[in-house]
Amino acid sequence: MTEAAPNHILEVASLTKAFGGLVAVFDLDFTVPRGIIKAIIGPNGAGKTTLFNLISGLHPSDHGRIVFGGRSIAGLKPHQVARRGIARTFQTVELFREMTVLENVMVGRHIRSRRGAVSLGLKLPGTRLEEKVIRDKARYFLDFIGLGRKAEEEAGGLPLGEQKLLEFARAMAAEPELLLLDEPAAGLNETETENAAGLIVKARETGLTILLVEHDMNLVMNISEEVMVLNYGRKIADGAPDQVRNDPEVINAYLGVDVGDA
Amino acid sequence: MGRRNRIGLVLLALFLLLFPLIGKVPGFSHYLAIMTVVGLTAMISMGLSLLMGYAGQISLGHAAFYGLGAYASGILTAKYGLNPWPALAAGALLSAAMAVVIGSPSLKLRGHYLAMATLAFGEIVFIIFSSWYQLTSGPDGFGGIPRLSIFGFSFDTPLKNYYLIWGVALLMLVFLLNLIHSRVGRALRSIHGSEAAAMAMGVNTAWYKIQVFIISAVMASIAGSLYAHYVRFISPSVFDLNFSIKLLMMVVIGGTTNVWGAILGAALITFLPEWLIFLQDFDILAYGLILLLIAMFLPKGLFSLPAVAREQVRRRSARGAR
Repeated sequence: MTEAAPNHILEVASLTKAFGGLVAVFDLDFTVPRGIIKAIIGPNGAGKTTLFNLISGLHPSDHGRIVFGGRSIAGLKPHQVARRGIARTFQTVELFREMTVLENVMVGRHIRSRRGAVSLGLKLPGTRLEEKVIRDKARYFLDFIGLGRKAEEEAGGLPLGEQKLLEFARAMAAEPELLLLDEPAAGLNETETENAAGLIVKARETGLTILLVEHDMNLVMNISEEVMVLNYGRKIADGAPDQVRNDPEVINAYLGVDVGDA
Repeated sequence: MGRRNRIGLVLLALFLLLFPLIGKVPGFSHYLAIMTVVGLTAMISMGLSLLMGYAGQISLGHAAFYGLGAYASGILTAKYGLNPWPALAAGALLSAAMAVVIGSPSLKLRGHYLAMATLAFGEIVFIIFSSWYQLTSGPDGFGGIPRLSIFGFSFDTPLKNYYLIWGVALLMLVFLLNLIHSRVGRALRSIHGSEAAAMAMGVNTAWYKIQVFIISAVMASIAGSLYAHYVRFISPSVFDLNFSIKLLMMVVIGGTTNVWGAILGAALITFLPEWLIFLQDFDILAYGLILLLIAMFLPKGLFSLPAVAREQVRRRSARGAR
């Protein structure tokens, strides 16, 4: 980066999205400081996943600004957002089920490789090297999550916990600046959740910024530097975990009914 | 491209090298000509299988791309005296341009808009072939198309044409196998697995579908050019909707997502009428029946036969053990 990197990697202002009459996200403002783990919590239907879909370009927003690394990304297509340096995982696991575990991570290297169809079909000089780099890097990120021994297995055959990890590795392989994790611990048992938390922290230590949606309060409070609470598409709290935990509006709207059962 | 594909390539090349010997057997002399047509058809069906299996799209207009290649080559060489090789390139370029024009709007939308657009395109091209007399000589077609030659070596016998056409078909097969086992091939398969995730990983799904469509159109066009110089006479009837549908059948019978299957499908559909001649008027019935049986019992195509058979044996023995 030529200019001094701004303190905030992501700035969202007056973001609004409605599906028909249902307002999923309304007039939302928030920022994500560079290099932290920030969690977004809220009851089901609070607009968390919609927010991720807006940032990653899967849904167009109705109104508002999304600025990533100092440049607007509102209105970009998902693959363009990915090119800018944002990778994500999905709440409902979205793996390439019929491809091998390693191939899934190799697709993660897509934006880090350049060769086009014609030069690949003709095997022009350099294509073999690029393929090797893709494979080696993918192996590295597969080993990072500890699934190296299952590289050649079909991704659809993995147990849920490993599928979630694989999605994480696939997103990491893109070497993004911002990683969006949509419920990384959903459906995981306690040990698996702990393992996932460890990996998220480790990923942050490499300089990545992480924005995550999660229901597991222990996980959220343990690893996040900032927590934002959404309710019916509006922000009701945003700050350090302790501060948010004791916010009366949050207790009323969310924690009072839901805490501890995750 | 993997060891199995490499072994397959060597075996196929050996088979094709020795195949002309069959022509020496009395009563089988015409097999060389049929196999040459299989080679031309396989070029189109392979590209189509990439489009259907990897981009999930159907084209009902590939006979038209085949025709564009043939007519571009035929007209430019026989009527304007151009060298066949630039004429072939011109046909391929024209086909690529048409693929962009048809593919760009329809492949940006989800659903089977490409099938409809190519259906219309095929009909328009067919009408142009049959009615633009000054250029195409109309429904009767025209002859006088020169033979291909390279560095003074003329492809002037059926056997030389057979080797030329299958040589090109094998090169196309290698190209496709390379492509499938590359980042582009993985990107295409990822679209099939989860379009949302593919996009989120930076795969420009619409652009990849358009590219595959262009590649398949260019392959069909090159096949058409080679056809024109091989038969040296062209008329519109070869390039009708009927042939486009036959091409789809070849891909389905061979098994989509399998370029090898597309070659097998091309061979089967081309040879089947020949093998059913003894049934006389009932040949078309048997033809339909065979295709129906394949569709019913091998929905994943002929290439899934070993896997299906193994599964049957496994089930039998499991039942026997109880």
